[in-house]
Formats: sequence, C-alpha cells, structure tokens
Amino acid sequence: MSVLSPTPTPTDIFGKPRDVKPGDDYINHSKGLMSWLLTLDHKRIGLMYMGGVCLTFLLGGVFAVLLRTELIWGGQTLPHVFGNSWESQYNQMFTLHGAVMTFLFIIPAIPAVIGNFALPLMLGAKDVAFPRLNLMSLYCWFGGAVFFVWVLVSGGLDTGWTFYTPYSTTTSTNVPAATLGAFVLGFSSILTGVNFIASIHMLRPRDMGWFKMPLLMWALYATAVIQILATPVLAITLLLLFAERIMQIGIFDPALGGDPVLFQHFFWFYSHPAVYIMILPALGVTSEIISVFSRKHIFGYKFIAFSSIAIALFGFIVWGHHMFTSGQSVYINALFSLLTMSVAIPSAIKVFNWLATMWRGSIRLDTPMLYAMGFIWLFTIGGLTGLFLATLNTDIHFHDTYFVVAHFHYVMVGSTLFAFLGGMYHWFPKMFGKMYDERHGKIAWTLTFIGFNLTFFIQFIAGSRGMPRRYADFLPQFHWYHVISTLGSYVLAVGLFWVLYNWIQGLRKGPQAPANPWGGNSLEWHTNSPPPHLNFDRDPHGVDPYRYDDWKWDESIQGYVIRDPEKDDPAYTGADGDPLPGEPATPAESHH
Amino acid sequence: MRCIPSLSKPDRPNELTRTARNLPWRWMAFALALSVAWAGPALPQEAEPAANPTAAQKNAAQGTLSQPYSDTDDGGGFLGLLPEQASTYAWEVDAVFYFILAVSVFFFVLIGGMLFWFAYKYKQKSRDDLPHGVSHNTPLELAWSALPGVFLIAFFGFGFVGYMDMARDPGPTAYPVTAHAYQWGWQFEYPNGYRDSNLHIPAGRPVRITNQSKDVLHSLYVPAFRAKKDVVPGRLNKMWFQSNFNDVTAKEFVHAPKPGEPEFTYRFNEYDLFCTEYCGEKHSNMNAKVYVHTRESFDEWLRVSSDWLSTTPPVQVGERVWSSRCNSCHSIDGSDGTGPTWKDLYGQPNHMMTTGPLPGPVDAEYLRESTYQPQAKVVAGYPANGMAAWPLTDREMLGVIEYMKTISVHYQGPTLDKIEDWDTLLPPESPESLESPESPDAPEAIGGEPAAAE
Repeated sequence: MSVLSPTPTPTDIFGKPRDVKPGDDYINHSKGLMSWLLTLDHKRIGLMYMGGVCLTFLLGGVFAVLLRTELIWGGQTLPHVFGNSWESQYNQMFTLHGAVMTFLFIIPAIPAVIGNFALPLMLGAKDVAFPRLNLMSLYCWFGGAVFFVWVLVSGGLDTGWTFYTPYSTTTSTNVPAATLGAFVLGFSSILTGVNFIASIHMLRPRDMGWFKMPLLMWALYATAVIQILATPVLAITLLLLFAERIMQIGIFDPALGGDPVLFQHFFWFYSHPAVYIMILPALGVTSEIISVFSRKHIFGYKFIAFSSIAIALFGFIVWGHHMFTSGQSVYINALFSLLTMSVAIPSAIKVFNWLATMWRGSIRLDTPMLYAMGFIWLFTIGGLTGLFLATLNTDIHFHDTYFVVAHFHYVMVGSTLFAFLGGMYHWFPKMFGKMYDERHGKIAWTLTFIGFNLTFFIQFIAGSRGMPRRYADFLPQFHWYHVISTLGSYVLAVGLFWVLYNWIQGLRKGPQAPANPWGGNSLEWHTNSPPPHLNFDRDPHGVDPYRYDDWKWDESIQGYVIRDPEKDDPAYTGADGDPLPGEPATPAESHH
Repeated sequence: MRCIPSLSKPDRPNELTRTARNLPWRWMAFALALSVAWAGPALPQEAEPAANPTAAQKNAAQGTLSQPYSDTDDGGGFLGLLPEQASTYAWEVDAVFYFILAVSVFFFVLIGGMLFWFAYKYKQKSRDDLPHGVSHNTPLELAWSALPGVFLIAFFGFGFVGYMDMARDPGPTAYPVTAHAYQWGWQFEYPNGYRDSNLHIPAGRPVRITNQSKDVLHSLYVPAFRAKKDVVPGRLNKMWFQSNFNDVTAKEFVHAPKPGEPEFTYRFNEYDLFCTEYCGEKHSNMNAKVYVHTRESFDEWLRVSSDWLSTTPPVQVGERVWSSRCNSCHSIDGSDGTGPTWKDLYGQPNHMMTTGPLPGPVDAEYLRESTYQPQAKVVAGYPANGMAAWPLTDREMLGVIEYMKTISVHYQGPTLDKIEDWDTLLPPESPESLESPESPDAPEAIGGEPAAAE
C-alpha cells in the first residue's frame, strides 16, 4: 500500500465509512491486562502468541549471530563467558539456538499465530471450537518457555536439540529442565491441533464444503493430524529420557544395558513428522498469497489439498533416513531411502501448481507476494538438496556435515520463516487495522532474501567438501566458507530488524487499513479491519475463496470493495447467478 | 532471456550490437569474480596458525611420523564441489551426486526461471484485472506428479547400488583395524595390539574398521573416502574402504628408526578424518589424519611404531601418552580442563577429593588408581563419571608417572629421560613380564598372507 493516501476513516467491505465506537473491534473490545491474559478470543490469543514467538525468535537469533561470529575465524573468537571452555560455550549456544528455534519458534509460529488468528475467520466462525483449550495451549507454551529460561540460567544445555543418548544422560548440564520444557510445549502443540481439527469439522458455515475451504485450512488440518499423532511419542520419549537420567533404568544408555539407537528411533519418529508440522502451514500460507496476488483462481485445488494430506502421511514413514550411518540394517536403510523419495512428489505438485496459478495471472509484487515467491525459491532449493540426502550413498558422505545444516535451514528457516513473514505482512492489515510501509517492506525483504542465501548457500559447498556440523573450530581449508556465511548472517539479521522496524512503524503511524487491501475473497476479508470481537457482523456463508470477481478497487480507500453489480457493471450478473458474498440468500438466523 | 528474440531477428541491428558490446564486459566481470573466489582460499592459510591447534595438529607434532602435515590439500579448489576421490567407491558416490545435481539444476532453473519470467511477463496492469484461466487440468497435474517419480526411482536405484558396494563386507582379505573413539580422540588398534592416534593404512588393500566407543556416540568420517559410520557404544559397527596409492599427491618422510641405523623413506598420502557425531565439549578437536602408505612404507611404519615403547625413554613415553590420549581433558600448564591439570600434581600435599584431602601427597599409587579406576577417588569440583578407565600398559603408566614428575615443583629427583633409565624402573631379571600383553614382539607384516589376527 502506498503511504501517500492514508484514509483516516475506517470503512467496511462495501467501502462505506463506518462509525467507530469504543469496543467495536477485538483490540479495544475490553480493556486492562486481565482482559488479555484471560481472554478466550482466538485473535487476542494469536497476538499474544505472536509476541512470545517473536521474543523467542529474537533469543534464538541472537544465539545464531553469536554462533556465526564465533566461526568467522578459526580457534576462539568470542570471549569466554560461560561453560567450561569456549568450545563448551559454543556447544551450549548451538544447542539453545536449535532448541529455542525448533520448540519455541518454528513449531508454533504459523499454526499458533497465523492459524489462531485466521482459522476461525476463514471458517466464518466466531472462535475456535474450544476457546478455553486454546487459552490453555497458550499457557502451556509460556510454561515451556519458562523451563527454557530456567535452562538458560541454570547451567545451560549442551546436548544439541536432539538430546542424543548417552551424552544426554551423562552430561552435567540441565537436561531434565529442557526435556520437561519440551514435554510441556508438546501439550501446547497437541491442544492447538485438537482445536483446529474440531473447528474445521464443526464450524464450517453453510455452503462451505471441504473443497470450498481455503487451502490454509487443509494445511492446518494436516498439521493438526501430525501434532495429535506424533507429539505424544515425543512426550513419551522425553519422559523415558528423564527417567533414564534420574533413575538409571537402562533404556538408552549402553552402560546400563540400553541402546542409543533406540532413542534415535523414538526421537525421529516424532521429530521427522515435526519437520512437516513446521513446513505444512507454510505451504498453506503460500497457496493463499500466490493466488490473491496473482488475482487468479488457485490452480489444481484438489491436488494441493490432497498433497498436504499426503505429506502428513508420508511424513510418518520416513524417520529412518536420519540414521543411515547409525549401523541399522542396510535393508532398513534401503526401505527408508525409497519411502523418503515419496515426499518429493506432493512437494513438487505444490510448486508446479503455484507456478501454474501465476501463469497468465495479474501479478502484483507487494511484500507478501515477494515473501511467497521467496518461499518458492528457497523451498525449491531446500527440496532439491533433500534428494541428495534421501539417496543412500550420497547421504553417507553428506550426513552430519554442513550440507545437512544448509538443507534444513533452507527448508525450515528459509521456507517457514519466509512464509511466516509473508503471512504476517498479508494479514497485518486485518490483525491491526493498519497498513505497514510498502517501501520499507520491500527493502527488508531484499535484505533478508540476499542475507539468507548468502548465509546458507555457501554451506552446501562447505558440507559437500567435508566440513562436519556442530564444530566450534574448523580446519583452514574451510575458512572462506565460514567468512562468507557469517557476513551473510549479518545481512540477514539487519533485514529481520528492518522487518521489525517496519511492523512497529506500521502499528504506530500506519494509515487506516481497508477491510480488504489485497482483494482476497476468503472470509476473513469479508469483515472489518480489525475484525469485531465476534468476527462478523452477520453470519457469512461459504464462497469460493479463490474467485475474485466480486471485488473492485477503490482508489479513495486504497482497498477493494464489494462490487455493486447494478451500479458498477450493468452487464455483470454475478457468477452463474450465485448470491453475492456477504449477501446471504436466506436469513442468517437459520444458521447455527 | 530478453536477448534471445533479438538474436533471432537480425533485422534489428541496434539491439544486437548493444548486446554484443556489453557481453565482453559481463564475462570479464564474471571471470574476475570467479578467479577471486578461486584464489581466495590461499590467503588464510598463510596467516598465523589458529590460536588453539587441533588435536590432530598436536598429535602430528609428536607422533611417530613426527611431521605436522596439517596443510592437507584435498584438491578441487574453492568452488570444487567434492573433495579428492581417494577410495575405490568414491567415484560411485560422485557419479550419483553429479547425476542428481544435473537433474536438480535443470528443475531449479526451470522453476526459478518461471518465477522471474511470470513476475515480469504477467505484471499487474490494473488493480481490477480479472485474469480468468483454467482452474485445473487433471492430465497435466498427473503428469507432473508422475514425472518426478521417474527420477526419484533412478536416484534411489543408483544410490542403493552404490551403497551396497560400501556396505558389502570385503571378505577375508581385508586388513582389520579397530577404531576406539573416546572423548575426545581416536585410538586405532592394529592386529598386533599397537595403538596410534592417527589412522595408517596400506594402499591397495581393503581395510575393515570395527568401531568401538569408550563413552558416547561418535562417528568416523573420511571425506576423501566418502566413508562414514557412527561409533555407537554397545555396538560393533563395521565399515571398510580401499585406497589406491596416489603418486601425484604422495608425501615423503625420511627417518632412521634408531640413531646409526639406515634411513628409511616413508611414502604416503594424507587425508583428514573427522568425528561427525556431536560428542561433547571438544567434539571439534576430535579429528585425525589418515595416512595411506605404500606396502613397504606401511610395514616399516608398523614395525617401528610397535616398537616405540622399548625404544623411547620413560619421560618421552609419558609425554606421548599424554599428548595422544590425555591432553583433551588434562592440561600441563595449569589451566582448567574437563579434568584437573597435571601441572604440579605429582607430590602435591592436601590434594582435595570429594571425600576430603588425600592422606598423603599425590603418589604413584594414587595415580595408578586414578587411571585404572577413575571413580574410586574423585577430585573435588569434577564430575564423578567424567573419565573412563584407561587400560595403560605398565610401561606407559610408568612413563606417565615419570613425565608428571618433570612438570611438578613438588618433585626434586632425577629426570628419567634416557633409554637406559628403564633399567631403574623395570627389574632387570624379568623385563618381558612387564611388557604389555597387547604388544607381541613381531608386528604382523601385511605384504604376504591375509591377516589372521582377528
């Protein structure tokens, strides 16, 4: 949006000025700290999640920049502040970077922030199915975060985020607190999943069949299935690890008669599906943005929808590829290699369908679209390099090198972070009723995109030449790769702070956002920005979320408004005589 | 992409000449960037060495082949994608790698190109554009679901065939070596019981490594061999590789086993070996070197190395045991490590244990107990399970004690740093009884019959 024409008066979806009384929208509906802390409003819970998630992202990001700085020269670079030695300080930092980013940031980022905010709105519902569970999931997240803060101040953690035994059962750092933290965070994840599945089943409005849902719903549904089925396995694994450490039972520690590879099976049986918890919502967000900013119906809706489900299902049968070098049977390795290949198919379907959506579209390169296209770029690199890791003999060479580091950063950070930022920009006007500054948004995108590729692409080469991961030090032949990567991480950090600045400026000084700045047609654009406490002034009914014919651009409010067929376009008769969105064919009271 | 139509239309000379004029400059800039990138890696290696030398550098400085060959050139330059191929199956890995790379680059250029092309070609003209198009096309979508499948099956197949060549045991001709991994270093054990902290192998013969861990997970990785296997406590993971001798990159080292004996020229290739499974504090120091010898060189190396205990004076034995096995936890300069420092330890009065001070000063008996049963007495301030028992031979243990005396202010006696000094440590009537049972007199030669030691 341009900053040139701020519209001081809030308008509704018809572009008509609306009276704003205190308490109209969800942000000023009630006042006081307790009205936020005890709220059952999914939008407020989403915003609180956003605050927490961004704080933990900052924490994990500080660790990331420190890690990269340590590696800019061989030997010790940073002053030794905590831990036994500077190497153990590095080990603690990469562990906390990984654990914080994975458990506190990436897993909840899109489902808990964007999902919580957008899912009921997209379903035309007043809230999620179980608002109290939703609040409880938020407090589980905060509880888990408290455990991790405890870890930070009580001796740290140096096991790597994977907690591999027997190191994790013998190290003197605070493994019990970290496992309990991840255990509690698991409940947050499960409760969100339960809520989303129930909401999608029960709260869809009249006329919204399964195939009229926005694709983000399919993605969140698939995510929720994984959250519910896989997270309990992590909880059990972490409890067993906890018991092993405290009571010396002998499950994972060979000194007590256990088997470390068993732990790896348990851990990856959760953590590989968890990778898809991280990426599936990002795929959904991208589907939304690509279609809206191409102003063209999404191509191959059913293929995209079912590919989300397919990824969720395939995700459960590929965990063994994390253990190709562990000494498990060669035939098990072969089976897992073959099964892992299957994940490439639904991923490829999505990418090609997005490109087909853009083909002959009307593409507008606003910030959300830049992030969505950046997502496709990074996801493609991340996905294609995954092929080298799924293939058996190349994985033997690449396993636990920087090639793997680069690969999963492309998939998790590159893709999920870019989709998260893109989604935040996309729904920013709806969340806050304000517009961000488009120029700063584009500058920040350019910095993050260049910075990200600079940081991580060179790591593929470092890894393929043999640089092992989780090294506080390196041999001289790897020096230049680390220098370039570290410089890239600084560019990325500047870009991310620029994003933060852009959001804060948008919140403080941004012009009033119209109800529908992008011309989207999913139901969240059929209500005011920000939405009222109960989301809609009247019960909406299902529409094709990717049919943009009913909206026309209104320059005066810098947004799209519902097309009035008689006034705007005498020849227009509505699509096949369907009632217009927002104009129920039958009285709204008949619903619910 | 914009210049392609202009090239196909020579009746528009303006565009053609403009493109042609720009072209050399673009290529020169590209070539400049590329050459800077290629020359780049030479720079840091001439800079001062890293503040903390890695374990391998330390070991190399004091090993049998006492040469700090730390500047391993793995070939390929800065933008080369893979290190030198130094094992018989490395080419298979590389062939599959380049095949997947070619397919990936094709799809990446296709997808990335379409992204840019569409963003440019279908740029929004008006906010009210309504570009209706087809919303689905099932045959097309089925096609691009199935097409990747063909490549995926091929990747799997080639990768599986190559992997089986790595996984299949080479049979009885393989030379057996046991890799003992510990926090944080390697001990490679040869059939005659000799242990070395670097891996020396004969060229032209398969070598089977049996991985054993003393403590936590480790992983043995030699990039030039494309070989990797985790070292899992409680399991005996096996791996193998065969390296052929590379005359082009061969290094030579001239050395006489004893003063006055004829010199021998060792010939070998040198490669890096890493631990690639995170194993705690000094994981990044847990690297070593692989020396691939000619057969004569290997036999001589093993003969001379296996004999080192009887040809090295006591203090030097202790120093080498420290530098190859103890230095990752115990310092000799007073700095604090994972374990207590050895500086001024011998003869120290009031050595504090978790149960109170030792009754007397630190003596040989206490040091023996701390080596063979580290959990019996634990130094105050250190974890109870911080150290695993080390089965040092008697000569090694005696050497360590003599070495510790030389770095302690509490000891004023003589320094046993001459080979004759063993006579004062070992009773002359039964020198063999104190020899390590793991060190039989004659090391096994490898030139002839297959190894029968295992």
